[in-house]
Amino acid sequence: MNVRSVWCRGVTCLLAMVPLAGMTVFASPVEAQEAGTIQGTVTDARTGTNLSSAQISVVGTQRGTLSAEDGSYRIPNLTPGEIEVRATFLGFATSTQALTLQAGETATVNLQLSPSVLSLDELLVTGTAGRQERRAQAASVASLDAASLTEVAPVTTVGNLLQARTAGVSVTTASGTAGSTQRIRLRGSASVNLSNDPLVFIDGILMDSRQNELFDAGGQAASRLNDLNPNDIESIEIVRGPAASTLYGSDASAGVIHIRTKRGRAGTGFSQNVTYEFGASETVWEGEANFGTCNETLTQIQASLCFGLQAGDWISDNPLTRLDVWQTGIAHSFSWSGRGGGENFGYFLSFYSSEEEGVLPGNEFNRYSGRMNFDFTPRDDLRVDASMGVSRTDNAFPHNDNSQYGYLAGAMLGFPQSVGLTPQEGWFGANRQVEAISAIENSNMVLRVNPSIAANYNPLPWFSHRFNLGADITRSEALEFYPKNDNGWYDTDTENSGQISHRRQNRDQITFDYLGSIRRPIGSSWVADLAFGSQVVATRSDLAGAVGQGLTTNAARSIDAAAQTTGEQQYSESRYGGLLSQLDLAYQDRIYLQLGGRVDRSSAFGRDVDTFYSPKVGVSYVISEEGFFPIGLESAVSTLRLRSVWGATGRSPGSGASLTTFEPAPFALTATSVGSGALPLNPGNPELRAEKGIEWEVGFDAGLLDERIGLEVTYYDKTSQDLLLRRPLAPSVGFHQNPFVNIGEVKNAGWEVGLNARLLDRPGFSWDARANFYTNTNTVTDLGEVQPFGSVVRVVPGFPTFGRWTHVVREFDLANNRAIVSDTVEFIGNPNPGNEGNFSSTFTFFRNLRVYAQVDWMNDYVLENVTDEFRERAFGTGERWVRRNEILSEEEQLQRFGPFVTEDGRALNPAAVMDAYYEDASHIRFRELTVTLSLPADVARALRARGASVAVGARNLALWSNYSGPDPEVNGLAMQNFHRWDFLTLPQPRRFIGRVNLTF
Amino acid sequence: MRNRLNTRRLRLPVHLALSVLAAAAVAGCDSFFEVRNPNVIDADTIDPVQDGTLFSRSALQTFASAYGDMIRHTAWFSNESWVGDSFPSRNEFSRRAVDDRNPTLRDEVWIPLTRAISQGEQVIEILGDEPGQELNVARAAVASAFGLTLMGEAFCEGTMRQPGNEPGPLMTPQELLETAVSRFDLAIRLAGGVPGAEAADFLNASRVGRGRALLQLGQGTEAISAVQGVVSDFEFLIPFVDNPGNRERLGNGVYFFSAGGSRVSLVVPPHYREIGQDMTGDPENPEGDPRVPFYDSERDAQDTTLRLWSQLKYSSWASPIRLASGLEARYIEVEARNDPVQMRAFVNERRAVGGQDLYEGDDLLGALMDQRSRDFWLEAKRMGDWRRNGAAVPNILQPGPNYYKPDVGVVFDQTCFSLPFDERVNNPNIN
Repeated sequence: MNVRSVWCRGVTCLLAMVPLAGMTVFASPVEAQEAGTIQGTVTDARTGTNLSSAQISVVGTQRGTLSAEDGSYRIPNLTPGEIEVRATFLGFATSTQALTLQAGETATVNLQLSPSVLSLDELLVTGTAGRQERRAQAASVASLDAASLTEVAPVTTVGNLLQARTAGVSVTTASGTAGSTQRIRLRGSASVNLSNDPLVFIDGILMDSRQNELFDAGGQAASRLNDLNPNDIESIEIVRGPAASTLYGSDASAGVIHIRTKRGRAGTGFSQNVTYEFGASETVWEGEANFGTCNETLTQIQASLCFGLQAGDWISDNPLTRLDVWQTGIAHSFSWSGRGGGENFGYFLSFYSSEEEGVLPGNEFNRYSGRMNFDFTPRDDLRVDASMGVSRTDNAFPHNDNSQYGYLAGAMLGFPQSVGLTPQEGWFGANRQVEAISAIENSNMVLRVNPSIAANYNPLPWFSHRFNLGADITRSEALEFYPKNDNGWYDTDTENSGQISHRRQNRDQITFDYLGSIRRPIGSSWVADLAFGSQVVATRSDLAGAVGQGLTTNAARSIDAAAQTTGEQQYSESRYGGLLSQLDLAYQDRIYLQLGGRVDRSSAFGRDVDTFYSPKVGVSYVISEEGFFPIGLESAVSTLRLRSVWGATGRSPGSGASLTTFEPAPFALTATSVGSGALPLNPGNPELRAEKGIEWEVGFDAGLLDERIGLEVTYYDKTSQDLLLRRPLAPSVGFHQNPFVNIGEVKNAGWEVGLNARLLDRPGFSWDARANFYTNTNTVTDLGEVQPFGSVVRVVPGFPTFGRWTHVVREFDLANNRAIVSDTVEFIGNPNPGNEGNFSSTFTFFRNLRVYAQVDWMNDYVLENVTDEFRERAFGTGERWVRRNEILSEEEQLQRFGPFVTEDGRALNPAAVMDAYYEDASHIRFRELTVTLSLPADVARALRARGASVAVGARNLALWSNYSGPDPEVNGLAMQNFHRWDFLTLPQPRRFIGRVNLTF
Repeated sequence: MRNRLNTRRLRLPVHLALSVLAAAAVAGCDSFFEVRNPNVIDADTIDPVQDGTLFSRSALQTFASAYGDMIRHTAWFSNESWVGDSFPSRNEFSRRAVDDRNPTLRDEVWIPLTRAISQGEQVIEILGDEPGQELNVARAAVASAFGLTLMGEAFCEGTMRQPGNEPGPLMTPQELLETAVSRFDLAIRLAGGVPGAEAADFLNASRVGRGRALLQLGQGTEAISAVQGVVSDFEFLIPFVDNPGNRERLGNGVYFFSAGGSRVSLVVPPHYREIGQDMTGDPENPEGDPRVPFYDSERDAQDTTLRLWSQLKYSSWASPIRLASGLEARYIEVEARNDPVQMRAFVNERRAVGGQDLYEGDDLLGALMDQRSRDFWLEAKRMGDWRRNGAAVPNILQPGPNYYKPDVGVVFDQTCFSLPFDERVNNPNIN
């Protein structure tokens, strides 16, 4: 045992800090004085409308609340004296009023907030240490007003909330299966072999946001992010760049998403909100028909589709429509929340129930959740927030994508010649039809508990502490069941004999962080904020499973009832922790300098724990507040902030990645006995370090035309150094895994432009619009000693990571009926969009009718249409193959089907020439449309409510694309780091919703 | 008042000190970052010498698993079986059109085979001079030697691990087979000095393997010498186990693709159904050769195109597969000696086993190859036979547009497997 480990072992480190933290919190003496109270109303200065959920705080203390539904607020127990009351609300300029509060006085402070598309005084949580105002942040942090979005947009999951809302966030939907996951990328993909998924925090606690698949359903998986009730979310902050370095350090190179849940309202009465939503999903595509050619025999058989036709004629069949497989996916949800508070406490309670069906049988996505958030401010200098989120998610996925047991594979890989004649009946598989596919069960149940406690303590006006301790506790159960049958429905004897599999996974993640902050003026013009702290995250995952094969009956379906049983276990742990510090210097509250740093250690590196450093330096300059501004621009530019930041983040591999390892591998001694053996797994690499993302960005925020237009422009440049690559060993060396080495470099660069405008503002009509546009150029700049690798998806210096490559057709040799193709593979396209954008508008008529619409687009990427390739080349059932002589020119036939010969005369397999199936997937989608009507007050009163609204809306209304498949946005490989294909992937359905909302 | 002031003065240093302590506690704990990972075995926790038996048995099992893969793919390539699979990369085997980037070639042929060889070589390297490890080294040498033999028979060129986990140079089939002979020599030398049935099995299997490799090298006289002393009823069977939790490694890989696994695609082709024994309940050919047992599974193969006629030579996950035998020793001797009288007698002896009439033709080598293709059906010997004896081996699919699945492509003219691209590009001694 080494010296350092003697004084602190394992989890005792963490536990030791809790009382330590408590000591720092309660070390200060309590000073009792006669208290004062402030109260008032927060209103929209433009319309006079009361503003609900505006944040009111007494500057320099922990006292604060949220305004009630009628805009009122009350903050009691204030220490008399000079106080400053501040109100902030997304979309409005911050308003501050100073007053002298007498002992025992109840002062009225009404606050009017002016709409502002550029709120520089907004307080941010994510990526901030020390000063929290947006104006002081050198890096761009995007804020999503989730509470408002869920009111106007047809949003049912957190994935919906994030999709196409802000610049720099790219969300790819896995499929149209209800409950399936999405791939989220912030500023592109920075790593080749490690995860590019951003970290997700809820109220400061790292959450499980995995794309979780306990049993393979063809590539589909659930997203733990979608366990959350979107109605519980107040706002989402997205840190795309170096702002993440100080607070999130060595594992944040893929960015951070911070979800803030709704809080209580101290000093206000109890209010409730009830929402009922009804939805229906319809497929926008019914599958593609299989084609086949008749022979002489079939034309004579009455039951055949060929009967009465000529030999050589083609027939077609779409089993999905013939058997009416598609269904309307009915969904309904109920959401209740209550919030309020007493003299010095507030609370938020919610309950959510959502049940949803997909457009294919057997697809269900049901969620039930509850949340309790409680805040307590016993003293001016202390605020404690405690919360508990509980959720249960049940989903059932039918197989799809790359699964021969899927509806789409079954129907779209079938042979129409078998209709009426064989048990296949036009489906793929020996004897598999709807009945066999629908009999497969694949279900997951996830229980989650998210407790957390946070304390904010200001022992001195210039010294504050913040502690966070919380956990994400996940319990998953999955079931896969193939019923016993005598029909040979499935491919294997074991499945046909009845096979049941269970997996249960426990995953616990604990986050603890501490942040101290000291603020002191330096002279008359400067203010210094010094923040320092630490963060620890520990994760443990334990999966146990069992399989039973050979059931007596399908009713007796326990593992024990099976003839053969087997078990499995997988266990993993990881931990990281860091120390951080940041110095913010503010000059006259308009120039801000940031200097930060963080030191991390991680379990990723085995016995020899390595250290990772994340520095950051940045500047923010609100130049429009200078006396010399606007230099003749006063009518056009009312606010202008310039900012730039440089920083480093990291990403670590799984625990023990540096070790030389063997894997357990049993051997057979006889036909009935087995011994335990071992195989070389990984040669290891003791020199392993975390990947380092060196990133800088420069940009500006501008308020234009009297703050009617807000413009944010950022250019970013991120270089992932010490890239962890699995250096491919020659397979003949015999290791099962390639070792990690720190040798590569990947660069991501691009522009992010966000536009927020109030285009029209009349008494009876207003038009608000938002637009985002962003680009990403991903380039592998160095692979060190590693040779370019991959075959059709390749990593090659100078090109995008895992770009698409293939031999390409150079010319058509019609005389010899062949296509001449390039001698070597050539780059075809980017796997991820080179640019994306979105445009949304809210039209408000007479303040009570709102129409919200959103259009978004993705450009400059290719999608592999494996569905067509497989049907045409491997199965010969695609229309373009069967009817090729009718519908394709000779050149088109050669391009798709060959034969292919290289320019130097080598014959190639069709699989080597894919340019006909790597398709441009650029598209524009009319994503959302909602019409919301706020009912007149007397109607609400008749319902015994304070307010009422009804809404109707739809998602995925229209799509414009040259892609030949049904949906260029879906990705059957969304769980993978880079790859993208459409292989019998279900397109996103069109979804209609109706919603009734009552406020009491 | 004075006390109050003193307290205030103390507040900052106390808070600072406690805060720094709280923060520093996190990063100072080495032990906090020590985690468990029981899914893998840390190399520092095992002793390869003390665990020599474990490692050598593991090496042999890795070979056993690769053997099933080699049987399947050489069968597809040499028309010993049809491929009833929809994967283009598997159909390319049957179409003799396997390019070096074929993922099946890499993942299901090259990697399993080279892992078997490398693990055997690793054990030989570590235990080679250790006293008391003779049986373990012999076991590992058997795994390596048969792996190299299969590579030399099936691949156009190959390579093998060198000491210190280093990649090796490009090797011709001749070099691969010569190296196999040297490993058989090692196994014979070590197993010959160890008592017991297992050592005797290794000894005899190595003699047969040595003869097989020498015959492939064209060294007939040496091959005859190598197999002397192997009794005619000797059989070296690779055991398999029906373990539902690990069938890919422990189960019979031929059965996996015939009936048991997820992609049933090993289809008995018509030319074998014509000669073999139909074991279906209502058989078409019940009087066929019992060495080629098959049945009609009354369903389609995975590709939904071919009817699944399944082999019955291996009827379960636990069916053993023969690797070497006294019968093979006799075949080696007869072929190498090339004595027409002896060959005719032997052919007729084997024909009798299959219920065939006496052979009266003149193509004795062809007749011998016909019997080999029955006796050693699905034992991964056909690629070697074909490359050694060419047209004498019956039923090789000829190049041209005559693939048995008409919409899937034409048959190329390959006669051996390419070295996979991943090996070529990542092996500094080759690229």
